[in-house]
Amino acid sequence: MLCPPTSKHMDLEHNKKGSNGSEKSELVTVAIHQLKTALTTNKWAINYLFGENNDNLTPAQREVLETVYESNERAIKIVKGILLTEKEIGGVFKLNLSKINLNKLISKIIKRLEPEIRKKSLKMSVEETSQNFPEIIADEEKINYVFENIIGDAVLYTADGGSVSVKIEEKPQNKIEVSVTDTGIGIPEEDKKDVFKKFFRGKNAKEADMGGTGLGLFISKYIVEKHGGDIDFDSTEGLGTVFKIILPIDKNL
Amino acid sequence: MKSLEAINGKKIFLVEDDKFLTKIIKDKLTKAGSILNNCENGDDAISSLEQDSPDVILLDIMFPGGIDGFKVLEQIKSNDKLKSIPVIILSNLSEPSHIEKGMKLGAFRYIVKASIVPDEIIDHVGSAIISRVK
Repeated sequence: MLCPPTSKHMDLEHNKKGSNGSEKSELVTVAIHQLKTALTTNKWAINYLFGENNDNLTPAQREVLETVYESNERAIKIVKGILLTEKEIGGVFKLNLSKINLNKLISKIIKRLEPEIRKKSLKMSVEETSQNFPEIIADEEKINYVFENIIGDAVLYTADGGSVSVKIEEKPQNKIEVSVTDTGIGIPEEDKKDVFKKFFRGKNAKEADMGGTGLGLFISKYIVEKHGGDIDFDSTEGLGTVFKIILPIDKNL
Repeated sequence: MKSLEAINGKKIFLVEDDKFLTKIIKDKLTKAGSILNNCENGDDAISSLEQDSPDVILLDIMFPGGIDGFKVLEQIKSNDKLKSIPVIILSNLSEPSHIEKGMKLGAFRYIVKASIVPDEIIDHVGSAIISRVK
């Protein structure tokens, strides 16, 4: 059941304060939240079908559902990006710090991407160089956004039958590095300097017409840097890309 | 103790107005051996919770009218019968101010619905039960 657009009331006073008080901005925020609620219902419903009726789905039905799930995930990512950009970046940006098990967080993200990975027959691997990484102190929701975005893009921009691998390793000076390597379309040489710019989309990404707003990497870099970390990449067009995200184990140290 | 083992036979109470999400959560948790009772708004939550005495509470924030989930959490934490029960907030509000408010009011965990798939609820509920046993 989806609630009618006017039936749920949000903390509107809070939104007024957070968005320079304009009614328009408040309306947009409420509408985006309603959209997020509707997309969540879709996500849970499709996921439920995958889980409960696994054997009853025909290959054609499964393919349709996987496509819907994939595009719904992309829509959720866009909505999250808009909310983060609208409400926080350039406004009040705050980190809710708690202890995070990075291995667990990344495994969950990969599990959520399973329908897309299966549909594209991708080889997905995770290499943990240790079973006992320390938990990092970070904002879970925001770090989740970063890895959803980086791993999600790797899956999105890699052709059927390609591979995506994630490696987690501890680095000196109390840091953890996560590298995400894909055999995807890569980033053209002339686009590399602009990859982290707001609204920028690579030439070949636009041609591939995968959707996207050009906000994901901009927001990811912002979040990683606010944690005292760093994000960088190496890429060859047509061969693939590796993104490296370095995060301090405790940003307060 | 693993989450699945931890939640077997436990009573979970869900405060959620969306009937479809309630159906999915109920299905997941009952298949994992839990007993799930629910109500659909904040106004009914406290009296239902007092009757039910669950092991874990799953609480949405936004309801169509009446008091919101933050208010319910405040009332839970000032109620002698209920205050020791771990509360997991399950909401789509994801701004830091909302998460901070929920955690400050005493939530065990704050989960953004759009960021998880339903199976993950078992893990979160399991962690809440394990934390209570410790």
